[in-house]
Amino acid sequence: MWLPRIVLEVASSERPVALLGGESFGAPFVVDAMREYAPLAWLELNDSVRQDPVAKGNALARAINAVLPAPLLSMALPFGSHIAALHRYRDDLLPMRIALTLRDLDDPLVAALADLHGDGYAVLLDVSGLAAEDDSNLEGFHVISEYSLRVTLSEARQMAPGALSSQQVEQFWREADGRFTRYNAAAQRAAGLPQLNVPSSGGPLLPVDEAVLIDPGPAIAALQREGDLVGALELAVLRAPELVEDLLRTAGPRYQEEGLLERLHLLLSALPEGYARTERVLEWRIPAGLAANDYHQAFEDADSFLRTHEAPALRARRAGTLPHSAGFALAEQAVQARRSPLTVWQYGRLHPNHEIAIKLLRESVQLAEVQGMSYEVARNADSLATRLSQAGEFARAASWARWALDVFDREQLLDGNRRLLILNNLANARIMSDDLVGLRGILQDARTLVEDSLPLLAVLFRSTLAQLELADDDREAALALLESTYIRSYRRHRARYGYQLVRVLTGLDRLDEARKIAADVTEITVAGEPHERSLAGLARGIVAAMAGEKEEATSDLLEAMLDTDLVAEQRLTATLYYLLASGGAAHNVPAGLAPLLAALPRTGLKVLSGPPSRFESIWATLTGPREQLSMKFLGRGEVRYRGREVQLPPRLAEVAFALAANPDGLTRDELSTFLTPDGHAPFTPGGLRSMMTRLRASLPVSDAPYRFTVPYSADYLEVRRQLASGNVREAIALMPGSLLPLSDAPGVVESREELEEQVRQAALMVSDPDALFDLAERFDDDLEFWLAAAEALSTGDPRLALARARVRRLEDAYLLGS
Amino acid sequence: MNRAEARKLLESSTRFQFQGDRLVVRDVALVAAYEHLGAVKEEIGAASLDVRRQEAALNLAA
Repeated sequence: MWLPRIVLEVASSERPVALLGGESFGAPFVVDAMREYAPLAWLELNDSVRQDPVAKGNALARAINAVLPAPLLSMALPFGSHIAALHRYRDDLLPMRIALTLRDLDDPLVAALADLHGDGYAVLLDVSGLAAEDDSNLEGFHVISEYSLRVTLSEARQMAPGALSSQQVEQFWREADGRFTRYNAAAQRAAGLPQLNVPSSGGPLLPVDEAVLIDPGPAIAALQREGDLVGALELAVLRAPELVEDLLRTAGPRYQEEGLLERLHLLLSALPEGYARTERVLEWRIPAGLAANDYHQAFEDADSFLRTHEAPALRARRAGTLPHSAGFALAEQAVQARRSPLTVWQYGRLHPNHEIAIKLLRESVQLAEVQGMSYEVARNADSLATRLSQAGEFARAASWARWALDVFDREQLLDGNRRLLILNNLANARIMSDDLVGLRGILQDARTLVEDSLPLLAVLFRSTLAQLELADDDREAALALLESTYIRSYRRHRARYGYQLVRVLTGLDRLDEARKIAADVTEITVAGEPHERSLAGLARGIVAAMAGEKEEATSDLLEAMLDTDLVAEQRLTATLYYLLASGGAAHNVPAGLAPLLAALPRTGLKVLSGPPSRFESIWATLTGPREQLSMKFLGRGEVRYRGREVQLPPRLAEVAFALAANPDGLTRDELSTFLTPDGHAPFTPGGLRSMMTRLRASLPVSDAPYRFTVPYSADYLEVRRQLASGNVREAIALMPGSLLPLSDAPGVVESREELEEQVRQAALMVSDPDALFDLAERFDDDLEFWLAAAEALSTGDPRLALARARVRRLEDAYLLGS
Repeated sequence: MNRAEARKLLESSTRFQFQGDRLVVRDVALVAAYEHLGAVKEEIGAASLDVRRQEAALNLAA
């Protein structure tokens, strides 16, 4: 049989497969039949999509999401982002076949898909436009040519309707030259049967000769009814421009949400004279022109329109494109004309006074909620979060950014680019307010999407990840991220990332390199904005403060500290280094900054300043003194005594843990039992004494019974305390990993298992999606955690697709195993 | 970008096909939506648009 023969050839190929010949040779029927073997994600590159990486990304995302239990990939991202995500999540997504129907092989998506094939996905191309058997782009593909796709006479006989004679079958077969579709159409028609619909990525198609002619007006209405607003607007521009103004009400936001503003620019630029200068068209020509970097005519036409019309929405949009003071004046006019989610948002965004801006932005969120405009709710709440962060109110900023993200996911909004911006804002605010649960995984996932495809967002996420590394005391990792951020940043961003890089370099005692970066930033910002020069001063001040050059440091740092054009994070950094350089001259700290500094949790202080060895005393004046001895046994572990890090070999770390977990002390026998695995010889009294002598060289420990002789803190005890208080999220945040993960000392193993079980039980009792997803990833194949995570996550959260996929995989594995 | 250029670029990159002023449609769902709107259709070919098409589809794998 024809179809099983081809299907078997496709299914048994170890290489990606290219079917040549297209519809007339029946290729779509082959693609469709592959659903029997694995979930089939099928997309087509039509003419509207081919030139636009984001449109291709949307097509790929739709195809992939259609075969997953929940949407994983967002719209408005270039296809490269999705390819990276497919590589990253392969374990949860396979098996899957990705089919691509296209005419032109010269497309970077083809090579990207071929790479995916190497990573376990089955890839199938349906190439229709050319006889490309020897095309160099098909190197590495298993090519099924038109010759192989031809129906043989015997196959034609097998599939012929019973009413046809052998001669008829042979005649039709010869006339069709073995082309499946042509042969089948003739045979069906002769037998009085209807022709087959042709499968396609977007659903069944009528046979070519049964296509229908439709007037553009009703066709536009039909496209709208199908939810294809993108197509409806394109058709209107081509054949019914009188409908464009009205259609833009719904289609404009859709183009924006799908990241298709450049295409919208093309459409609106092609509108006939007389339709291009109406109010709503002008309103959309502005963002579309900006996206396409071709906006002068749109600005000119908008300004001309605004001279004679109130047009509040257009006025507000134009305000966002002007220099700050001119933009603010126009936004004020817009909001006076009408208070809408757009006008109040723009006015709030541009308002110079933080307090009034925050009030306005809150009003803009409420207005959007009242009008049921979900996208505007998310956008406006995110702007509110940004403004709160700039004012140093990080906990409030985190609340609003989280709300924005919740709305985004719950309402399944499409704009993946904006979602990433909100996510980055949320991550920054959470780091500064010491809420780190699950954040590393979230940021790494986001970085996968942006690193090679979205350079501006990549810079943002690298910077945020660097903050997280600083919060976790990993200065080397932060340096690696900030170095690449600095090198790749635009000139006007150099000062912003330069001072951060300088801060990390000085923390690693690399003062000469830091000095060079500070000089570089100073030079580059000479002709820049005043706030850029303040940031260059901040970079110089940090170097001078760490080098003990008091005079130079305090002058630069004071200037940065007082510059209200800088955001709170930058001014707080200046303040901390100023306190270091001046020996704690707190009376010079501006009144507005003092309460923000006092409200910063220890994590925020760590992120904004340098190493504990230099800043511990400053932090202590802000947050109260810490115990002389602090110990971390979870994850990487760290012991600090009197402000200095103490390196303990694994065995001594086990002893330190034994003492920390037993504040009343341990006898020699108890300690020996704690440390010695079954079947091993216990410690001799001499061996134990010698070990304690080595420990005492670093830490204050009494004679037997052994105990610490100074007050101490230990993360293990703090996690248990938080769990006992019902603070599960806080407990999980304190657990970067297992308790002394490499230890097999029985006392450690028992404590480790007991703690993990306690965390497990506590986490399953709450429905905190971040905590549950974080733990599910850590416990890897614990079905109960993945089920709880899937239950807690919002519908539009991409983690839901992964949680459900993992649940399915684990359930399959358990079924197989049982 | 001037209007003529944009128009040319749009016409060369649209997914829509036209015959005269009318749109050529093969998408079954779009035709159904169109019919739902009560519009009159006109077919290019001789065969009728028959709902039995789905039921009568050949079992290719048989």
